[in-house]
Amino acid sequence: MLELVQLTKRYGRTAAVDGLDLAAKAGEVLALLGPNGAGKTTAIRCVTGLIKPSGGRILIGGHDVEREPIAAKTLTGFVPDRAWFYPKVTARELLRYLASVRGLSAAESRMDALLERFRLTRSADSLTETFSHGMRQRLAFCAALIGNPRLFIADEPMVGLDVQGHRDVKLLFRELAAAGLAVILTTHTLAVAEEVADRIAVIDRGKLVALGTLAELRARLNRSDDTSLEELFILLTEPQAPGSDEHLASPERT
Amino acid sequence: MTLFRLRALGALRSLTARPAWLVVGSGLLLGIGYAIFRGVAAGVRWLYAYPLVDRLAPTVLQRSLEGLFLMLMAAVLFSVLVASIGILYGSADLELLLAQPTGRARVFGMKVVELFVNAAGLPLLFTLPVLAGVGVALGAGPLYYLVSAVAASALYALPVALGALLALVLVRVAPAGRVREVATAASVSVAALALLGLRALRPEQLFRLGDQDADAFERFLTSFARLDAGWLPPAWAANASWAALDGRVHAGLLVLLATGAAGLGLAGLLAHVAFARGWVRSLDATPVAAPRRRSATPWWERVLVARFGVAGAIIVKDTRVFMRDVQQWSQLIVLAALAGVYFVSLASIPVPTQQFRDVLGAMNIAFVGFIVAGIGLRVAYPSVSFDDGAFWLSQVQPVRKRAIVLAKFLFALPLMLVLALGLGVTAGKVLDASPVLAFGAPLAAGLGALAITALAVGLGAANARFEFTSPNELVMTPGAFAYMALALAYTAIVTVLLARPAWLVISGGGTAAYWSTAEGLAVIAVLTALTVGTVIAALAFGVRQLARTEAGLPGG
Repeated sequence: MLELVQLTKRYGRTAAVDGLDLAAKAGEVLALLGPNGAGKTTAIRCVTGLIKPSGGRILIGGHDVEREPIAAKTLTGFVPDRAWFYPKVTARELLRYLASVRGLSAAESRMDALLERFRLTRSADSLTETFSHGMRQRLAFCAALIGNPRLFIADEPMVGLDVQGHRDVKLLFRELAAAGLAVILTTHTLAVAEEVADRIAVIDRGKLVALGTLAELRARLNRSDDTSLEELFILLTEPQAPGSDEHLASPERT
Repeated sequence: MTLFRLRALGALRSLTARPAWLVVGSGLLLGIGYAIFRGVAAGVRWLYAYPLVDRLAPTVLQRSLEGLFLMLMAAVLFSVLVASIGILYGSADLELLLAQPTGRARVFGMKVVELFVNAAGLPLLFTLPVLAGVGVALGAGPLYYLVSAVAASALYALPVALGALLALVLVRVAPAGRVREVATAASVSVAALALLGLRALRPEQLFRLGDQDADAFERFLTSFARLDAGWLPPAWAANASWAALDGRVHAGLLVLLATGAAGLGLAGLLAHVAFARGWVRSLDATPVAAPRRRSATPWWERVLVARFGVAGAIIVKDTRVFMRDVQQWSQLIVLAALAGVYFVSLASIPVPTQQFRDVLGAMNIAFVGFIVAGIGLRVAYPSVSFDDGAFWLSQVQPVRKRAIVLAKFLFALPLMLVLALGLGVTAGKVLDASPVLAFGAPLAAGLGALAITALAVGLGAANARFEFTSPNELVMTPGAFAYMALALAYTAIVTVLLARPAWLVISGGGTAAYWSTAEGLAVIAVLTALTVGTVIAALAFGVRQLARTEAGLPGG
């Protein structure tokens, strides 16, 4: 569903994303992990069309994001880390607007179902400027799902959500994958990735450091089955003394 | 000083973020400034050399300076009242600034400086070349340049202090629940009333010209020179500048500085007591979580979406935001006030003969263009940037940039068309202009509305800024300067194109049939081609530049 081929994004001489090759299949949850500044958000913003790549290709459902942006974006739903909406528009009006720009007719029942699912029915007719961060985040989920996407991307989706929101979102990711969507999420909450992700991609300094299931990552680093993702993550991303460890020097996929 | 330094650094970085636009905008501004300087210098030399009025020239020039100061002070007052609540209470950085261990009056002081730069920056930039032109023509010494620049700055600081005081009071007395909205609407209404009130005094009645008097011009200048308004601050500034020409320091400068300091001091004192409380009050009350009634999709929304597709959906959203956002809909009050001032002015001008009426009718074509360009700067230019932090939604949806720019154009166009055609048609009727001009003026106004709206939306899209502390910042950017220069250039070309039919009318040769002659049709064709070309080029430029924009998520 999503294929990144040598994706590169440079800011001057700095490469935020440096020749990233990655693919996400329909029906799987792929967690994108990495330390701050690793390039996760930059890569996702390239995929969603918020910023333009300096090089490489992004294919969504076979459509090149640069050449066929409308076809690619039609297949995509996106939840940013800090969702902000038109303050003087109600949640319902916002969803109606998004349904209109996507050319969806008779979206009212889907709208109601999404608002219900994300516990926003009572606030559906309030202006979004009155929403708390968590409510805005839940509305972002509704907005991302209103267009029946095939690729669902969430950048730090847990930020600002309450406990019930956390649980809902984790369930949602599995449901979406079960329904055949490709789901990509970035998160610093490793427990979430461990719980919901089918595969885990670790990025550091713009490059892919490791990719695989949790078991595959353990096997690659020669760790036992009870090694947590947190330990694996630190091993994969901590700065190494020159020549002290070989795992960063061999970034081939597992 | 750290606060000021940080804010100045931010402003500098935002100006230099797009160097090409900075160069173009600065170049245009410098060009306009230089043209003003040369024009004023030549005008002053001509006035002093004119045989009939040489003895009156110094007084006439002094009164003209007073008039300029008065006009620009009124413009600053108007801008201050429109922008004060937004800058003093609506700036996004206030939350951070007021949380710091720094005096509230100091934060307020910084915002007042911001208000001064936003409201008085451009008038001051236009005043300085005028003063320099006068100085060069009259061989003034360094004291004149120093005193006149200080006097102009101090003069424009007065309305800023007044606006700041009014904002402090309004936010404290506005009803709880909608403090910022009510205060903004009240402030804009006061601005509109002040503008209309000043104009309703009809100062031109003081020196009304006689009908067909051969000595009218000299008598006009004599009566103009006798006008004494020494009790008004603009006269203090003019007197101070004039005395500095002879190397003297006039008491007017001291009075001006003392008044300005007193006003700012009083505002600072009040701010110490009321600013932070007022800000908290405005914060507490702004987002009122009052659910709106759920309704089915309204008919006008269905029609717009069916007719214009994605662009229609964007227009629906923008209409809702416009009607609910006081910063946006209050521009209608400004628009109505400006139209009112224009009609009062037209009705007040003595028009003794048909020839004179037609001269005014011809000039009206240019004036309408200037007014529409000014309104476009506030209504159409920021329309893409008004999406603010929510622009990411448009970026990630299957929406072409073409649809966004077209929607903004179609949204602003009816307002601009109504204004331009209203001014064009009504001015023709008020002046009872000849049929050639009665047709030409609305034609030029209508086409002008199309071209100027497209220029505003196109250049606004090309220079979209989705992070700003106050919407007033948007009209003080290189892109906004470039838009104004291009809109005025378009208006100048249209005025030149219509100069021929206007001249025919004024010289008594034009009839209603002119527009059906080959020449008349050619003028219409050229005007139409110029307008269509401008619309397409401006919108296409906006689309192309917006597609390159990498922005949309706050902090992204």
